[in-house]
Amino acid sequence: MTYACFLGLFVALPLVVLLTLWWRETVKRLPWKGLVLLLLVAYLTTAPWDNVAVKHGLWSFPEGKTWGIRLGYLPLEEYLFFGLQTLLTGLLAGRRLLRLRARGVAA
Amino acid sequence: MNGPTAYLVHLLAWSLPVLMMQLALVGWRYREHTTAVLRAVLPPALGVTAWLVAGDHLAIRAGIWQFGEGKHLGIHLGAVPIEEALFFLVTNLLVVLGLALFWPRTAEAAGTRGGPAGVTP
Repeated sequence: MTYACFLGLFVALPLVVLLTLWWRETVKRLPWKGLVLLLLVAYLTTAPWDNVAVKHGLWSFPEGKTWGIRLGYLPLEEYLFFGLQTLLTGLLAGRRLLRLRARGVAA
Repeated sequence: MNGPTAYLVHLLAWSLPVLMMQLALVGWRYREHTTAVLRAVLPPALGVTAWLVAGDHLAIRAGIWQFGEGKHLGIHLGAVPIEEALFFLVTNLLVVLGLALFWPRTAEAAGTRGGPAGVTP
């Protein structure tokens, strides 16, 4: 298994399935401006933090398991992970916030 | 960054102040609805955490990433260092609390008509 396989199987696949299943009911009604803002914050905060960790050897990404494209100390897949995880978790939580509002709670 | 607490300290120093601030802001914004909002957003954070820990277990077994010798506590869930599980929990909490804070204030703003992504109460 490569990093790309992990991303596809555990993050991108569930995300695509949920986006498809919940397209009308949830995806089109989500406040996407808020989600884009959240993505921006996630990247601005996680990228430096993760780069510092790898620089100091807290964890590492062996050659051969990634595409080989590095930005700073991290493989490109790691940057994709931040965004995809944010979208997956955000979609699940966003759906429940929409329901909460539909029940009349001022969320 | 050395010693068995290196990963844990790096994780908590970065995330705990932000999490505390987010929780305070969620309470300040949602007032009496805070519990309802937390009950809505916490299960997805916990569910995705469990899912990613399972995936991480397989990823570590496959050697996709490795952990610096002597830089974590040495407590594992399967192949997953406890700090790594905590990392998924913390980042998912940051995401769902951030979403609750960036959530627009009115139903109209959430629709296709757009509107301010209200962070102010």
